[in-house]
Amino acid sequence: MELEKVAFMGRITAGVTHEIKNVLAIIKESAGLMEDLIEISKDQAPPPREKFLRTLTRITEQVRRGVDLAANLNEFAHTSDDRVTGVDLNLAVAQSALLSQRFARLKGMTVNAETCQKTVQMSTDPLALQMLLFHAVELIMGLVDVGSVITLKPTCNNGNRVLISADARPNESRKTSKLAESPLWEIVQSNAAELNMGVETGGPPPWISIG
Amino acid sequence: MKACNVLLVDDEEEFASTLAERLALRGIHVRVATSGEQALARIAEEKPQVVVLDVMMPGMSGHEVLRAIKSDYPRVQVILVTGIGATKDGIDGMKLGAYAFLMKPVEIDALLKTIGDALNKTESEVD
Repeated sequence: MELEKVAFMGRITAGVTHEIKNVLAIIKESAGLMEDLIEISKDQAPPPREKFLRTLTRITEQVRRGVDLAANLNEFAHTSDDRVTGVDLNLAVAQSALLSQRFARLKGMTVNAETCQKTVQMSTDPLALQMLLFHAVELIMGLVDVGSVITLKPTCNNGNRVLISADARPNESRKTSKLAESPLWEIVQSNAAELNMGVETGGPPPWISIG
Repeated sequence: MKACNVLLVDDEEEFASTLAERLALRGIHVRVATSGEQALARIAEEKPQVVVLDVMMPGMSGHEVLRAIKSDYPRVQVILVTGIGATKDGIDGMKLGAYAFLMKPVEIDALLKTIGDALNKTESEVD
């Protein structure tokens, strides 16, 4: 379990830092473009104001994106602070959706989080919970088509459970039956067992309920 | 640098369009594609001499696009752009026929020089 956690943290860290590197590359090219425009126009009229403002806006947006990514990675790093602590499932699914986003994007999919109006609190290992949710999302991503939207949501009126489900799309009935054949299925079950949680599945479209 | 047509392929549209603008200011004719599928369609239409190709993309990966280019347009030179720490991706790409690989963020002078060298290679092969 501990080695699995380290490997999971490595995967997530590599994914988020790759995104941060993309952000820095955009900022670098934007700053370079402004330098180019100044250099070109040094003996003539001032650089085009519209292009300058557009480039500055792009830099500001990318700085915001970078800050969000770094903040999310920082929060994730802190999930290893306590072996067992109180976890707000609304926040946990929001974090899981953000952490899964890049992996989903590379498959042409989207991951969203929905929250309950009320606070859904449970006492558990926050890092192991993130690992379980991530693997469950990854399992569903392996069964659905490009363009699918996967949603994580605490089940508000049914104890401390999280439902991970894909939106309805054609041609998925034949794949959903293979959910239990995926190597990730055993990993999800094993991760859940470590947290004394159970796993239920169904579909189509495929869904996994953990709690 | 001699006039040349370059196709820049990266799913980060903001990155691709800004870098394209910088290359255009240096006299290079650049088009942008934001997916592997779009890149192959552009190559079929516009026959660029050099393709600057990101490795990590949704859908078709950079390596898959590279394979398709080398199969259908062997004279087109491909410069791969990989993430820092992803040297293996670059080396794998060279084995698949890439002309060179550069790390992202790319230094514009290094990119210009590599594009120029790739262009020279294309011309020497034609001669």
